[in-house]
Amino acid sequence: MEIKQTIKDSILAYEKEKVLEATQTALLNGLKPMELLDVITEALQIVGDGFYRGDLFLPELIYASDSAQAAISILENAIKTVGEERNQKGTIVLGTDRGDLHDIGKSIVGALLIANGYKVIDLGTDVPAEKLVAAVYEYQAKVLGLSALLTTTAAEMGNVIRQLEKEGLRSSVKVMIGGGATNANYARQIGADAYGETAVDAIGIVREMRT
Amino acid sequence: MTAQGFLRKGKPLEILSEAEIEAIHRAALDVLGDTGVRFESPRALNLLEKNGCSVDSTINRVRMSAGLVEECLKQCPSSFRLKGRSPKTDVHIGGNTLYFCPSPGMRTIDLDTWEQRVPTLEENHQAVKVLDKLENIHLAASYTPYCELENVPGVMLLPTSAWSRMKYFSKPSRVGSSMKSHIWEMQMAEAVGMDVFAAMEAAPPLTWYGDAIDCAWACAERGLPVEVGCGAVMGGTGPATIAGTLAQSLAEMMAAIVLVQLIRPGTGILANSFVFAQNMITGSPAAGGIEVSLFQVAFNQLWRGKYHIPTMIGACGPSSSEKIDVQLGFEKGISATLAAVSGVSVINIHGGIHVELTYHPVQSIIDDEIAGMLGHYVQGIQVDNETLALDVIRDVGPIPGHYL
Repeated sequence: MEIKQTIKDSILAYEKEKVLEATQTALLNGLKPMELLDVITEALQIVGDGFYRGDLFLPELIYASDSAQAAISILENAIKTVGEERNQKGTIVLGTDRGDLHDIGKSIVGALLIANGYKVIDLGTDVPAEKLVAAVYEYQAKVLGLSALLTTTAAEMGNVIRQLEKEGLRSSVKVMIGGGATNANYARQIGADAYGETAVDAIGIVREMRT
Repeated sequence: MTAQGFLRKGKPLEILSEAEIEAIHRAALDVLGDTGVRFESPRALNLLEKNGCSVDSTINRVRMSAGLVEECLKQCPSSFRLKGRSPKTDVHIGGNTLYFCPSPGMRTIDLDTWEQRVPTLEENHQAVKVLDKLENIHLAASYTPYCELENVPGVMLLPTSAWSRMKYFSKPSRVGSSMKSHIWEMQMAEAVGMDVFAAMEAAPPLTWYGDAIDCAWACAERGLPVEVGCGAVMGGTGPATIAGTLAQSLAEMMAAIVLVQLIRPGTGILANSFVFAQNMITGSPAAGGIEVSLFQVAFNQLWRGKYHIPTMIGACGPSSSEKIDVQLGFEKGISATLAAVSGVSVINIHGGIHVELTYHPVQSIIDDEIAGMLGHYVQGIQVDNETLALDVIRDVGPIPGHYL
C-alpha cells in the first residue's frame, strides 16, 4: 500500500524520477500493473480537478501528465507481458496539419487528455493526412484532434476528413479541431464534429463524445 | 525626400543597466556557442559551416563563435531606405525616426456581435485603401490587413494580399514567407517600382525553418533589407523569465543575422519583437500584458543601443480583448507608448484587435489618432524665444489679462 501512495504522492509533487522508481519497485514487489494504473489515474484526476478549479496551472499539469505518461509506458509493457487488457477511456490521435509547424497548443491538449485518463497518440507537427488516417485505423481511435495556427494550413483539415471518408473510417471516429486559424463555423464547413477555442474546451468536447 | 515620420527628440527610455546589457549579450553568445541553433536548410548549413561554424548535420544544429557573431552584427547598417510608389512615400528606417505600420489580422469582425468573419476580397481592397489614406501609416507588414479571404485558395492568399497592396497602397511592404509567397511579391514590387523587405521570423525555441530562410535569402541577394523577428511565448516557447527570453531571442536573431550577413554583407536588418507571455490557464499568448512591454523596452535598448540596429515592435497592435473596448484601448495604448518612448523605429499598431486573429478598418482609424499623438510626443517640445512667449506674457499680465 505504501508504494502505491508513493507513486500517487510523487505525481502530485511533480517528481518524475520518483514516480518511475516507485513504479518499478511496485512491479518488482509483485503488484499488478492494472492496480498501479488505477493509482495513476486517481492522481491525474486530482491534478485535472485542481486545474479546473484554477488552483493549478499549465506547467503543473504538464509536469504531472509527463511523469504519469512515463510510468504508464512501463506499466503498458508489463500489461502486455502478463496478457491483461488495459481498461481505458479511449484513444485519441492528435496532430498539427501538413505545412504547419506549431506544436504547443496541440501538446497542451494532449497533456490535458492524458491527465483525464485518455490514451493519446500525438503525431507531432506537419503531419500528412495519410499518416493521420493510418493512425486512426491502427489505434482504432475514437477521436481525431487536428490543430492549425495558420490559415493557409487549416484547409488541410477538410482534406483529412475527406480521406477518412474515403477509407471508410469517418463513422467510427469523431473529429475535433482547434488552433488560431479555426473556429466553429469553419468546423461546420469542413464537416468536423466539434471545435474547441481553448485547450480546456477539448476535454469537455471529448467527454461529450462519450469515448 | 522621404515620408516624414516623427523625429524623436530626447533620450529614449532605458531600463537595463550597462552590466545587465552585457549579461544578456553574453548569455545569448553562450547559447549560440553551447546549445546552438537549428537551421532546417541544407544550403544555410553549408554556408555557415564554410564560414567556421560547427555544424551537426544529423540534427541540423549550428554552433557559432562570439567573434563571428560580433563581426556580422557590425556589418549591419544602422539605417536603410525603402522605396515607396513615389519619393514622398519612401521611408528611411533607423536613426531617430519613428514610423507606424498596420497590425494585421486573419479575419474581420462584426462590430455588433463581435463574431469573426472571413472578409471578401473587396473588403480587403477597401481596408487597404483606408490604410493608404491614413496619414500616420508609413509602411505595411506581410499579409496586410487580412490573411484569409473568401473564395481565395490557401496557396493564393499571400500573393493576393500582396497584389491588393501593390494596387491600392503607395507605401513599402514586407513580403510573406509562407509557401514561397516572397517570389511573387518581389516580382510584383519590382514591376511597380517599389521596395519590399523580407520576413525572417524564428520558430522558437532556437529554430529556423526553411520558409523563413528562403525568404531572407532571396531578398538579401537582391539587396533588399531583412526583418529578423523573434516570437517566443514566455513560459511556453521561451523561458518564463523576461531576461531568459531576451537571451534566447537574441541568440535566435543573432544566428539569423550571421546567415544574412554571410549571404550579402551590409544587408539592412530590422529587428522585430513579436514576443508575448503565456496565459498559464488557457495556453493562449497573453497579448497586452505589462511583461510584454518590459520585454519590448529592453529589446529596443539592446538592439538600438548596443547593436545600432533599428527595431520594429510587432506586438503592440494585438490585444487579448476580442472587442474594440476599454481593455483593447489600454493594452494597445500602454504597449505602443512604451515602445515609442524607448527608441523603436517602427510600431505595428493600426487595426489589429485580438492577437493576430482579427482586424477592422474602424480600429485602424482610431489607432491612427493614437499614432499621431505618440508621434507628437516623441517630437518633444520646441523651446526658443518665440515659443517662450515672453513678449505675450508681458502684454497680457495678471488677471484680468487672458490669452484668447
